[in-house]
Amino acid sequence: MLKYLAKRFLTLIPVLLGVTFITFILMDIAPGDPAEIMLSRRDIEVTPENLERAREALGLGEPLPVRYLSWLQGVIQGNLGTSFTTGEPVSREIISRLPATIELAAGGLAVMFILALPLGTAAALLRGTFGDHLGRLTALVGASIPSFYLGLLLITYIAVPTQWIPVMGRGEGLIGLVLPSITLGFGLAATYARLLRANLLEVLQLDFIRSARSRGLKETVIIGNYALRNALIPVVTLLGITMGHLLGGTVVIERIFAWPGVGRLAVDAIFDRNYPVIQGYVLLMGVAFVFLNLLIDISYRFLDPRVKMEEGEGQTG
Amino acid sequence: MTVRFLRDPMSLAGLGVILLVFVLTMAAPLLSPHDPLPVSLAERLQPAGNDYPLGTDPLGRCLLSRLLFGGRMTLQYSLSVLLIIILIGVPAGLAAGYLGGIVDSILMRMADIVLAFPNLILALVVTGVLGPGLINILIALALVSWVQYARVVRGMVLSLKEKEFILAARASGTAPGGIIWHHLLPNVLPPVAVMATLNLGSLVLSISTLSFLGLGAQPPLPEWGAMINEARNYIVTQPQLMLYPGTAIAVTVLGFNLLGDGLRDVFDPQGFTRPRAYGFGKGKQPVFVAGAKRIK
Repeated sequence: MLKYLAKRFLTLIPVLLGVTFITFILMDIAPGDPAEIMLSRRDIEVTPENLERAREALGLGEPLPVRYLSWLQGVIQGNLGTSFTTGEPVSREIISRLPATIELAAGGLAVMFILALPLGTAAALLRGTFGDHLGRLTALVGASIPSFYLGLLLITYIAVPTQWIPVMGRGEGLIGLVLPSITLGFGLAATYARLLRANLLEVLQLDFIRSARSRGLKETVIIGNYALRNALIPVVTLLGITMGHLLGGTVVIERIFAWPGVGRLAVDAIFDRNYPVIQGYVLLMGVAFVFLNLLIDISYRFLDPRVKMEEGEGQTG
Repeated sequence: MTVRFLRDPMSLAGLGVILLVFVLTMAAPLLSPHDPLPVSLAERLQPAGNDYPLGTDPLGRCLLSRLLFGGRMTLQYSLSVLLIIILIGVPAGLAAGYLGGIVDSILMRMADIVLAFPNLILALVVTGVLGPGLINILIALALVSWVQYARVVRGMVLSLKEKEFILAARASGTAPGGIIWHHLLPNVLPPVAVMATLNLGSLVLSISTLSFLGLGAQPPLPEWGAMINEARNYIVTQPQLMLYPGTAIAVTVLGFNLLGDGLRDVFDPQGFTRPRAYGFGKGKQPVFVAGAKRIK
């Protein structure tokens, strides 16, 4: 187990190096002088002396590999540079925004499971009936609505007329989390309900289900205790990819609901050409994505004792 | 095969929707009652009527015209991205799968890096660094999406490579180029077509999402996502401003999904493009995987 974990962490390193280096190159070839951008963001007059000083501070005189290495050195020491706009350390800005994003992602995941589990099971049991077809259509529609549109629809037709739920920001307690979570989880729930249906149908044909039936077990026990548990394993497999959608989705949803998370920080940084923050965000997302996938791989072991950890090859990390 | 496809009402509906959307948006210059660009504040927020079939937006521009031209923009860019990623991804996958060795290692390492990131976030960052704009979105999406095709094609080639007809072609002295062109490519294309159809839906979503965030189409250009962004301050008083483009996106994407689903049943029975339904452990299975598992 430990050996496997170590191996996975080792495969993580080249991937992160690759991505951050590519971002560095892209920033280098992108039009515009970062020193000038930084001055204008901080409302400092753009004079030749100030420019020179800013260039020096950003280390722009050095060649690209040297700058990358010194950035890396900073990262290892927990220093991600300072934001162009606020002058605050990037690491502090990101950490202060992180809880809001984690909350949102967890909320979205919860909504996804709450919707997908009963709907997927129902569709499998009702296979071939009108309800099943309706389910297929609903799932396809659900996967086709852009999340930003769904969010705006929820605000316009539920939040505003009923005045039940605050629409903007985190608000008091968990109530502010409701609409953003639904927006985030709905589209995913559609996909998962379909996947669960397919898996359940497959599992229900297996021998152990037939033998359970022949032993006269109740249908609820067969479904709940035998079939569902097996059908959930591939669902967990897909969670790795979903994490990506979740993390990406938070960017859009944070913008609609004025949610103060890292996604909004990143979008603001993109408009400001705030390179240190963009770079920090890339690093954070890479680490988070890889780490979450690792957690998911480990969780197989608990769901399915047949899986041996050491066999797993750390493909995409 | 065609008969089977034509019997499925859902795929037919998808095909119908797609054709309708294509005809309407590509004929935008002919069908639009007005020029979508000029601002006339005197006619802002006109209700739907004879002059403006869907009314006007807060800058007095004809909503119907902007909707048609906006869809044209969204679809043109989605198709361009698709074309680019197929032109990069398919040859890359063919080369990696058939030649193996160093070509394979390099391509798959690149794929690992791209796949280590959520697509939207990577596209967001690339646009962020290059600056907002539709062309930059196109570059960003192409950069992050070609990998899926390369992976699926590589996986298919790996399994085809061992089939008798390829061995026979090799034994009779066909050059690698000939094998790839005459024997592998025709077998690889049908699943790629399925992927492309499903992919078009998600490209429409990506482009409109990035435009909604303000990173894609810049004002005054009409684009569905950008139109919804412009409508944000009016969602309560003038909901139709977002309802038209929003519904247009949803219907278009639904059309591609319905069609793609139907095509998949017919042209990809082995399920190369299907999310793997049942597999135990063995690391993560990316979405379009089945055949694409790395073979040691």
